[in-house]
Amino acid sequence: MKIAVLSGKGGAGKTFIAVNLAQISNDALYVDADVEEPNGYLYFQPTIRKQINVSISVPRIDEELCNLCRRCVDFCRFNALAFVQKKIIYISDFCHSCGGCRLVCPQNAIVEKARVIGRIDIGYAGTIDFISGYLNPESISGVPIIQKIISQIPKKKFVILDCAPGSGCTVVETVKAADYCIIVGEESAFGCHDFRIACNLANTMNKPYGAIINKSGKESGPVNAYCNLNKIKILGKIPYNYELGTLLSQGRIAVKEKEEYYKIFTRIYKQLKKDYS
Amino acid sequence: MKIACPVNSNDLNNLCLNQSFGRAPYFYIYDDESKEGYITKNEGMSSPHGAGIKAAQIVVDTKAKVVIAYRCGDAALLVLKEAGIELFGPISNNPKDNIIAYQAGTLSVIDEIHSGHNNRPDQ
Amino acid sequence: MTRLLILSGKGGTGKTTVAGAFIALSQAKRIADCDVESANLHLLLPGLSAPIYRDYYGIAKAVIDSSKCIGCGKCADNCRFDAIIVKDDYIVDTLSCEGCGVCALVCPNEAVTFAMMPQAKLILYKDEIIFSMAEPHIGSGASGLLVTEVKKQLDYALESKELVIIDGSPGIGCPVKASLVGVDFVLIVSEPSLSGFSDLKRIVVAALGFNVIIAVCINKYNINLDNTRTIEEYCTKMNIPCLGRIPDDNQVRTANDIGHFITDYDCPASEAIKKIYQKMIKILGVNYENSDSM
Repeated sequence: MKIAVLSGKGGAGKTFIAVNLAQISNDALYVDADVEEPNGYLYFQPTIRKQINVSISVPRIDEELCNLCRRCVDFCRFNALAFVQKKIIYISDFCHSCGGCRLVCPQNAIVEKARVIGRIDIGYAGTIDFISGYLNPESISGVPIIQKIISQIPKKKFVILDCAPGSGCTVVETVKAADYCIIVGEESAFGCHDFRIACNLANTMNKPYGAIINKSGKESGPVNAYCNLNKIKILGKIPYNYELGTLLSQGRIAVKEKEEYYKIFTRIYKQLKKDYS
Repeated sequence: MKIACPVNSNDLNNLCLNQSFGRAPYFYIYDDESKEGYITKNEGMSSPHGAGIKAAQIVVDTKAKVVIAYRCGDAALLVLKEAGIELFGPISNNPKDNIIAYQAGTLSVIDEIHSGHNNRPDQ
Repeated sequence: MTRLLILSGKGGTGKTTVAGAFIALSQAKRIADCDVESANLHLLLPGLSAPIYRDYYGIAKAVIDSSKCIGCGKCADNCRFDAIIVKDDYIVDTLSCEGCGVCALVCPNEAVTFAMMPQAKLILYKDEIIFSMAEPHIGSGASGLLVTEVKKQLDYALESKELVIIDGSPGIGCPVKASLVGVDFVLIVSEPSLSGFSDLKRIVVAALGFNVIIAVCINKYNINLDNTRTIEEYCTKMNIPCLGRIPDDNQVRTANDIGHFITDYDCPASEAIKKIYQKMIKILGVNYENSDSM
């Protein structure tokens, strides 16, 4: 079963929830799909046994065959090609790897070669399997990395997909692969506003989902109210705790260190298994 | 020789240098031989990404040899350099004053963007 | 005209709280929320009414005219983004379509055209405060163009003596670079976690390519004093002023929840932010304060 953990907001606690849920299951595969800023490795400190480069196909122009008609430049909608001083320049930062320039060239002067845009690390931390994606800073889209990660996930595994923040294309690609979504809501006005965006995403993509409310207070807050009003299942609530912040800032895994969190996450995990096995 | 400046509007009587290069709505192209200038639209402005490349291509196609702008992205600068176009930093937001300053040799070349830790703007 | 941008690198460091506080202290009247994927600033601004909506169109996406489609499948064969769905008809999955144009290129019967589809809503409030923001549609994220459009709506005159405050995007990509264009001062709100520090460094590298004064402050500093000191040492090494430390303060949560500026309260976080604001004003060499607000 593949569970995507997402939130509309940065800092809501996605990685905290994803890491601890994976840890509590004892044999999960934790996947860090926040390829622009992966942080899962800070907690798991995994042993990496394999690294796979992820490439996209990018054009290489054969200057001998090129007749400088610049049809490729005019075709490219992403501004990845320019024509100067009797040659074509290719700017990889903006290339979406659509293959169009190669198709449009009347001289067959464009071939494709691989360009590395990032990598995936595969390893483990104790009994937890670990995959993390990493996008090179100058690259434009993490989607091919997500696709590569998904292709590496073995069947019959309890998989936690730690998504990027927001609702952009990387998140969409990750949620596509999920059977279920856990939406993390930070119990605050800002958090609730963004929680709703994440719920909209899950709805738009027709994925079943439940909520985990993070930093909840003694009284019911806006995220709680929103869930009740819209009949969204609340899988669990993590109370706000100042010390947890310190624990997390040191890269420690809460369920390994504090009984309270061990209990909370065990409850959530058992409920998930019961509802969705 | 032609000089290009990214500007805010297409009003030749009210030229103001735009803060960006790729996202400027127009370019002012001045020909120092005919002493005339015209405005061309920057089609690259509305690209979600890579606006600077398209803008650089537009400038290259005007056959300008000099650009006067506050800055441009590193990819756009690469295109300009490949085309043999030099980028100069402005002294004010008035393109005409900048052109005069360029002709007097008082403008400085911007040779690289993202200069790294050791070359920070003055505070 | 002074344009102040507030960035964070990592999400959740407190950027919007600090931006709100600076708005209260300076009484700035032109404000943009460029954190389009997670726009929260409007929740703090009082009296916003009668918003003006405009559609934002990013890149055009493919549309297949089924009356011209002969079902040859060349579009689907050549689409690298799995954006052509084949059911009874050939249909474009707009969420996956990247607008590359290859399908139109290979179609033998000109059945593919391109249409601009709204990918976000631009929102402008024009009252006592001019406030610009945007809401991207699902699947569309921030882009350099969208951020540029949000800033453009502010429509300020460079010669005016105003202060403009821009709440920036998290991350380091195009949206952040677009928010850095044409600003005078950027304050990076960092937090003393491992991820917070690594993100701070990446943002600093990005910001150095712009002609802008950079400063840092550390929010929730007491969560980890060691990391706080590490950040301060980094700032010293990079010759970037570290304007101060803000303690983790429950009052911030309460204030944000009811849509109040933290500086409306008398509490440690508020005091710390006021001091940071004073230091920033000194560096800028101007004074925008409305004396009533203190």
